Amino acid sequence: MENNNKADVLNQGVIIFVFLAVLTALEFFVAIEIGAIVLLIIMAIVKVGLVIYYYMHITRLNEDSGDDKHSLKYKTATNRLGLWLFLLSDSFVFGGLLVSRFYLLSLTRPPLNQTLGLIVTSVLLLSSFFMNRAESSMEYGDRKGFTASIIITLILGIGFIAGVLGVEWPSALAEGITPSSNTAGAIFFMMTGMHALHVLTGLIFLSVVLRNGRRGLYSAEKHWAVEAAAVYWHFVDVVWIFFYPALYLIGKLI
Amino acid sequence: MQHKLLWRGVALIGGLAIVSGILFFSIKPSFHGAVINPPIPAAEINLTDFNGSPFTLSSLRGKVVILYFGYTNCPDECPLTMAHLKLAMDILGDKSKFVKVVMVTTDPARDTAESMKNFLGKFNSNFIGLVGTRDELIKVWKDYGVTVEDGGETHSYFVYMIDQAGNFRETFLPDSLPVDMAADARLLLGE
Repeated sequence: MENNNKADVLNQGVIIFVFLAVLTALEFFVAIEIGAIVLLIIMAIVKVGLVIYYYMHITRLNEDSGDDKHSLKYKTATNRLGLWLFLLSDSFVFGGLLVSRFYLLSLTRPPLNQTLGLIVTSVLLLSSFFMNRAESSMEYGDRKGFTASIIITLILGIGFIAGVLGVEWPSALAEGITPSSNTAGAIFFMMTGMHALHVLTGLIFLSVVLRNGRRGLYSAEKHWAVEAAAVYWHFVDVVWIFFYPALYLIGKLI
Repeated sequence: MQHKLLWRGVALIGGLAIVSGILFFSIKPSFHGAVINPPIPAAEINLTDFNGSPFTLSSLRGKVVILYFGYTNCPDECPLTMAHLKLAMDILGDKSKFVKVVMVTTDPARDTAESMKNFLGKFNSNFIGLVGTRDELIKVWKDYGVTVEDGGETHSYFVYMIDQAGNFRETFLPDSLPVDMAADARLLLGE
């Protein structure tokens, strides 16, 4: 899908975010009022599909990189493939944790606050919206838009960490749920911890990209680091799109 | 370009919303155990409770009865099941006063009224334990299809749920979730 002007691209980002937001709200309703697990899985898959196609631009992997191995286009294509392969390998870690969660806890879920889960999820989804906006801005050479959006992404990312590490973890520990108290505690801390670690490294990545961006290192023609940071950040969001229902929505308490 | 995306998205999400709506308005609460359909009257039980008084199952009409067969020297299954039933009672909260948990011994040689009271008291002081002569117990075991071997140490371990009218409604395996057993008791109470 080729978009030819900046306004269209930015608008598309908004539309996708609205879809994601509506799906998240619907997901919450279905989990609380109906408990239909298949429906929750379908919605998670749709959300992931939206992020992978529209925010992570997975189809760019298919672009012709040309024959000149020294061209920027070729090198970017190689870098892109390398990044996606790395993310594929990282997926195995998260995939393993996800499978473990269902193997250990089956269709019961840890006693977590569902409202808090919804709040941190919304923060992370919003951060993906702004990350996409930052990348799209840079694609059109809009450095101001890029800078503003990256800063907001960073703030929201810090907000997510504050929510999980600052509120969720202490409240779990206060209730006696620790990494070694029982299987629910173990899998909860392992999943959220591993994910939070990726968010933290993502924040470092974003900070570097912000600094370099303000130094004028990126342009519309050359900004691989921005695309890489975006793809990595959206990947972290995709993981959470699966982890969030797995921890907060699917299964019965106890 | 934008419009195609917009409409497809609205259609997809709208579809999911419609499915959710249909499910929301059409799902009826259902039982979680193995349901006996149609319900059959639960056989009368004539034994002695752990206070020494004669006990009949029919005296509990008007309450949901949860019946379990086990022995107090059990190292695993019986305490586990009793713990689950205790949790189920906690979940029921106020409604638990309309539910009675009754345990019948499978080990008359060793279980006395006192040992039953001690054992059950560890879980919930409202649980009732029943003892009796071997012949009286054999009749109850037979009526409820309970196999008892090895001096009572090997026994069928179903949890039986009987409704307020004295009808046998469903059985649960001991690893059933307390939330599920509580939900079913609530369903029966609402009938």
